[in-house]
Amino acid sequence: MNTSHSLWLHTAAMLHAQLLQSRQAVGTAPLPAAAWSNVVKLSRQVELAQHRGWHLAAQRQAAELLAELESLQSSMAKVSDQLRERLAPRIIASPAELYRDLAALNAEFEMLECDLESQTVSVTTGPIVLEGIALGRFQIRLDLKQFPEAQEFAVVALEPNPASSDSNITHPHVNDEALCAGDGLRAIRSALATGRLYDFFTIVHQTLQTYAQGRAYVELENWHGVPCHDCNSTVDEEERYRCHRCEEVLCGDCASYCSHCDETCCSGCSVSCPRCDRLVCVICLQPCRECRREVCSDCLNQNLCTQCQNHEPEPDEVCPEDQEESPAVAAETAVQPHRLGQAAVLA
Amino acid sequence: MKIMYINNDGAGFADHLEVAQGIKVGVLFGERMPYAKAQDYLIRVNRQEATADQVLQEGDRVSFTPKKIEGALV
Repeated sequence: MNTSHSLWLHTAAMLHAQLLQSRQAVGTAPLPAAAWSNVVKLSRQVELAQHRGWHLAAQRQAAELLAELESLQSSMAKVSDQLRERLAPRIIASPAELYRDLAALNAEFEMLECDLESQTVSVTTGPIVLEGIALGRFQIRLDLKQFPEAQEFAVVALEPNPASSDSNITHPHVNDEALCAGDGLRAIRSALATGRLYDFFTIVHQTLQTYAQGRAYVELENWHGVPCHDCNSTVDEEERYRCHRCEEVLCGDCASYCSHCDETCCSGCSVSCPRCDRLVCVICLQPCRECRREVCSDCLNQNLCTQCQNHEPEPDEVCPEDQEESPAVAAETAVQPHRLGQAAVLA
Repeated sequence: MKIMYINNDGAGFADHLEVAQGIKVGVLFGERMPYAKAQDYLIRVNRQEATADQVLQEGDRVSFTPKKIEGALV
């Protein structure tokens, strides 16, 4: 018998022993003792309040007691479910089945590695390409140290082509070597709980070969960066700015700042104030009640822009009637008329 | 006759199943997965690729695994 087969036999024997031990250890989940203590305490408080005639307090405490009882009920249901699952009969893989799984994995994947020292079993996939983006080969590494209770596995990129925004994201559903299994999670747990290694690796492999648009750490359309809203150049995450009004992505060259609120804004959401000429975001503009021009708040006083405050006409709005009066007319009108408050007496 | 039937769709299922003697893989798929299409699944008998016409034997291990399994964000 060659080394590989001998190694597979040892691995199968080790895994079977762990599965057997796990099936025999029923255990219980921790009971919600603290929640029960709370219920008892609240119940006493309700009784005491009633006894002393503090009806309002009694009602309040009773409402709290009800909420606590409902929460306790939910916790107890979870404990029951967990215990029921542990007591349910499980068909665990025999050493022969585990050996056959390893042999089949060796035939199906590029490489199978059983490392008894580090207690891991790994397979290497072929190249994974999703929507034309080559992500390279991956190693799916199952940790056997606390198998099957702890179902820990890593997905390691062997020829990483990560998202340009984050080097830890080597696959749309893999971040920092952890696969977010999504729809495959329950099947993975079921496979590992019963020692079906072949099924486990197959499910993970199929998940890696599937792109779930809208559920990715980085969508494939943004894999090589996001385009700047203003100039269309590709922007990495570290160099990315966002307009606070429209939330579009901007590069460092195109990101501007409102001189009033200091927020980032794009070219579409910012204008120059017609009075002071400073760049302002459209949110910080307010209309003058006189000329209706939208100006920044620094150029507005009592809802009048600086120009209207100084009674200065707009250059394109000067009329003959608005021209300055002669000094004589101005002096006459400045004085109150004679006989103010008197009425004419008719003969 | 008894076979080991494994369905890796959804929550996963793995248990012994009593089936008719001489049943074919395609017929079993149709019975167990009436609303699914065979081309959407990896169909294995004893961990080997199987055709719809393959006749099952006593003790065979039959598995159906979806080809498309969507991962998620969190």
